[in-house]
Amino acid sequence: MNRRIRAVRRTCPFVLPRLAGGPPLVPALVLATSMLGASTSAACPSCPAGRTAREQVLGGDFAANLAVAIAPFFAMGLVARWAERAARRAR
Amino acid sequence: MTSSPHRGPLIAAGILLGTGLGGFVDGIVLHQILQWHNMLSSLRPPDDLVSMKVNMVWDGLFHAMTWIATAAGLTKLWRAGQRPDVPWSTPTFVGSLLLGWGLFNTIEGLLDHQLLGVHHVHPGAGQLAWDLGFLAWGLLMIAGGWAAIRVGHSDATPRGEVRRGARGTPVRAGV
Repeated sequence: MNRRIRAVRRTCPFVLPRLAGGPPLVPALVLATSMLGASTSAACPSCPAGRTAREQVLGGDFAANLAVAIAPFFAMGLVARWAERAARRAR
Repeated sequence: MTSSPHRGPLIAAGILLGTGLGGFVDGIVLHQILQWHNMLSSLRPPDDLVSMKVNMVWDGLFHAMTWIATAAGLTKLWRAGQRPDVPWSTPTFVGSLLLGWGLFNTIEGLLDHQLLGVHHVHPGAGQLAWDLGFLAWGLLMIAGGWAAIRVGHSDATPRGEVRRGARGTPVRAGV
């Protein structure tokens, strides 16, 4: 396994919660665990295609792609929070 | 009721659950069963094994996020069920589910399909029509959800209350 993947594995639990907008901790941990799983449990964990795919996933566009994947859910979290507060004001 | 009814926690739970369940429909039906698109399929068309695996990882991350939204909605619903001031209103909850699903489709459609173009609903000829249809579907669910939430505004059924029907038979509250 190359050094870059090891470095991302070490930093995942700390970087991802910030990308996801901070706490809550449990969703951040689930997200981090899913990324660790993605890098370790591919259908062919050590075949050339699997290695190449992992390197490309964790390559230069990783943060941008992660932001794209997370953004709609983050927006929906904000919508849910706003709706709860709006309903409280309306009662 | 110990205080004036507060529908906010039920609406928030419904929005989060609608987001999660709607995301699962998108991921399972459009990504996996029909294989119309993948998360990054417009940037990285899945026409070889490596590209397919790259898209599979990002699809997996999308599903991880839908799982988190579902878990957050379930947590919120559980907590709402413990509060005596939250009415257990079926129209409010179903409307919130629809609202969450529709809003998610609209936001995801505008962001991923229209603005960033990372994937399209059905790439190829007529992809814009498919994308606009997806947005229209989302807007319809928003409208339906909003209407149902308004219907539920006067529904102050307490959780677990047993009402009597027209013939005197017990009717489960909120159903």
